[in-house]
Amino acid sequence: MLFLRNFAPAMTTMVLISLWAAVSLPSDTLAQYLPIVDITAPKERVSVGQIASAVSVISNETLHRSGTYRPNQLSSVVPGLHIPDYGASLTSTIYIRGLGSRMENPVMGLYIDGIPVLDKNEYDSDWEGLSSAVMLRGPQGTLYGRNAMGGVLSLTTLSPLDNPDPTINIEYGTAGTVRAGASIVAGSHALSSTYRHTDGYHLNTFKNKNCDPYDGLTFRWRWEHHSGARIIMSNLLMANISREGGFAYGQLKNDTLYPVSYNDEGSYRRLSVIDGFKLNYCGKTVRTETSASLQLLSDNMYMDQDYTPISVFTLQQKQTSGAGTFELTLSRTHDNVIWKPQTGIFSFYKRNSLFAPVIFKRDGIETLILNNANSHIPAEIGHLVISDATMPVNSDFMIDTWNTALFHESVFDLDRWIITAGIRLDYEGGTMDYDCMARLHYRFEPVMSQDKELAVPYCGTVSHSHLELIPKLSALFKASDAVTFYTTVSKGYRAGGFNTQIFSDILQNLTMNAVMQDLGVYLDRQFVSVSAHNTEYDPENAWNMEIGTRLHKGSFSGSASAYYMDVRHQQLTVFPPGMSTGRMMTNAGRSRSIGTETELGWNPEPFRSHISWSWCDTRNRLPYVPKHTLYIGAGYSFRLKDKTLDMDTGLNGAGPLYWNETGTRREPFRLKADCRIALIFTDWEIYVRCENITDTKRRSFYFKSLGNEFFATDRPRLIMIGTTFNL
Amino acid sequence: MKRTIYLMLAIAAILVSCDKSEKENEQPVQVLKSTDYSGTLTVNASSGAFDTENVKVSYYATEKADSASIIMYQVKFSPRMPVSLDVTVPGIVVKPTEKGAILTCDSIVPLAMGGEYPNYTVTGFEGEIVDDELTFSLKFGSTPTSYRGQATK
Repeated sequence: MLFLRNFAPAMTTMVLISLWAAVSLPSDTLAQYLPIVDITAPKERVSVGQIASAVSVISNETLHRSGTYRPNQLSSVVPGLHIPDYGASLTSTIYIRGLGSRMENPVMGLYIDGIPVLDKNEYDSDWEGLSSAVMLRGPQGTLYGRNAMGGVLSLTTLSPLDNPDPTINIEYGTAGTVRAGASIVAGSHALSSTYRHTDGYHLNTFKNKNCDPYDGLTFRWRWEHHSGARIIMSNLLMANISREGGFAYGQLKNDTLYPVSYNDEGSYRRLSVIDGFKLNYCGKTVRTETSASLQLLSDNMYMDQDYTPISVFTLQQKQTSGAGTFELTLSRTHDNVIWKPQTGIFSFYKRNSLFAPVIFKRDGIETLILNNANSHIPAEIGHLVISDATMPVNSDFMIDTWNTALFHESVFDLDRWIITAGIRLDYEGGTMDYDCMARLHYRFEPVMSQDKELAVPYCGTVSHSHLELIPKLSALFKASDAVTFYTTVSKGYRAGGFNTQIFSDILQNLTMNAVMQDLGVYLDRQFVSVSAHNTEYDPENAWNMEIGTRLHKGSFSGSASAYYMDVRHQQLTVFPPGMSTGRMMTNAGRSRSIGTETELGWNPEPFRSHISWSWCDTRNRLPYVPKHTLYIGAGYSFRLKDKTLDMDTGLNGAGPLYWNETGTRREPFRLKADCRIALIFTDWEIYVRCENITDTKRRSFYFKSLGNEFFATDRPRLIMIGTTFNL
Repeated sequence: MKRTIYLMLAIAAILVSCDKSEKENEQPVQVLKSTDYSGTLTVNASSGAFDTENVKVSYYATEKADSASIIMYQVKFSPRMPVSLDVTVPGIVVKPTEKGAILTCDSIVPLAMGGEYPNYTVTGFEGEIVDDELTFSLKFGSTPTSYRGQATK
């Protein structure tokens, strides 16, 4: 029944599209039917239209019209993609095809001009000067390696070769939001920059000021140089600096969601710099593509971990990381051949210095530590007292990660068939040096009259390594020039890692045991926690079996796909055993997800429309994964003498989804509406756009902390007025 | 001259002989060093007597070995007690014997949980060390307690 009810619409769509196309379409209109034929994704030897995977292509114009300037605004626009907007810029939680988790490595790879962005904390930065965004859905591990398990988002920035007009865009609106950007091409250089400020959207009632203001500046410089006909060199420099609040979490009490109210600092600062260099050499028979990048990230987060007005505990997470990537690919120079092989090596090394102290404040010492400790001790014996105003649990980590991979993919272009076979051998290793220390002054009343200092160190090293074999086999059949069918079996994996977040719990429990031991008191029920060696988690991998079809006819385009994913060693965020305040990532065993994804577009000038819909069913009711995503967008351009009036609207929805494993907290399917009206003159435009017109209070995140339930809600209604100049 | 020499030799012989007889009459005693023991602690609680096996006890002698402390590790005074404690009984008087020592002390406040613990004032302490065996009995507050353990290597 599940299959019939949910697979049937997509399959019906696929069949109808295919039959109609096969019967009615002439075969000499390839160019106009396949508008994405010229768009490529990095590493792919064929155009996007010939890739045997589900692909979404969003043009620069669509990004501009929809006011999309951050990755999470692609949610639902790309079918199945769900990037809830909560927390702060480092959050970037991504769900797709039933994959994803709140913490650690993402299930989606991000490439900007072919340069991989290694750190998830750098995913969420403002875009300006993009020429397209291409999302390859489903595992792309053979070419893209780690974390490309749910797909790869490839952003292409404006190339100096495109020679676009210089553009300036500025908009202002609700919550003092200002967004200003500019892009310019001069010679072989393309520059773009964007600045955004907002006063914030959610009031922290305790501080009587907004908790989520934002100031961010993004800069991008792309240099491209052709040396003769054989050598192309390019360099991409991206920098982002931002300072923001965040963590707009309101507490749920008696089924009433209260406003945000916390007393300690919630903020995030980030400086990230990525520089990628590419050198392509076309020999007579062999093409060599080399890319290397340096990636630096320095960020600092402060979080009130209890999100309440009382002083329980806070978290700081300050990291400085540096990484280098290198890739060398060899392929045949000529593309108009049957066999298009490519062989490459990829390698990266990353070092991350992470300082993550948890500070237990007075209320936290009383409620989390002393109440717990004294509940184990008979009252007639005495009770523990900690007199410190704060109790720091300091954690220093040095995490090294390295990866090296050898991959090969052969594409056989056999007229109406394109067969692709590939394999990747991917080795990843890592070590984590941890140097943690808890320090406190305690006494045991009534026996002790003086405080005694106790320091509890916890140091060591853990390491892991994994070898992944990632094959791929796909076939694409061109039923006509307009219709293609494809089937793919592919694999992807999400890297493993270390749970640094849980070390404060480990230290907390070690400290209590150390205090008891120092006192000579032995509890029948010891304070239990995981140890450092339990903090390592394995890679998650997924086999994907997928069938799909694509169609382009004139102004109509459509695609549909159905997939089955067998997920092993699934990474899930869980509560560790014992009295704990943290979460940790663990491998939950085996799971599966099945689903369908459909995109339809009809764009007869001056009308345009787009529908994206996905259905996904996961075993075990995986939290945070929406069963459906839906986007319906439509627009019309009215010609008014020397100007044009553009009207666009979009409905964006996701759900239902469960917030917890037990299914007691559920979010229904909710839509929110956006619109944009623009008056376009020859060289400039003025527009008004509105996000979340109906001010729908859609919940974007749920969690429990210390037994309290919290929700984050989407941004409220935003009205922006702006103008764009093409100079 | 000869007579004088014989007289002195006779006196010396008598002195040596007397000294030898005194030493032969003296009891040999041991100087007890700090030692760890493992054995059975028996607590006659109000709810009934119960034994705890493999209880570690350390005997810490002072430098002169005329007094000592006894530390009992992880002991319970009731089977329902949710914690076990390290308890130190300081100021035990040590009287060496041929095979060990006799241990005694008057009313004394034990040390536990980081300080003095008057609720469990020790009274009636009697004990002895014979060869490798330590035995003692005492009252912790009103709880009669006894211990018998063997020295651990």
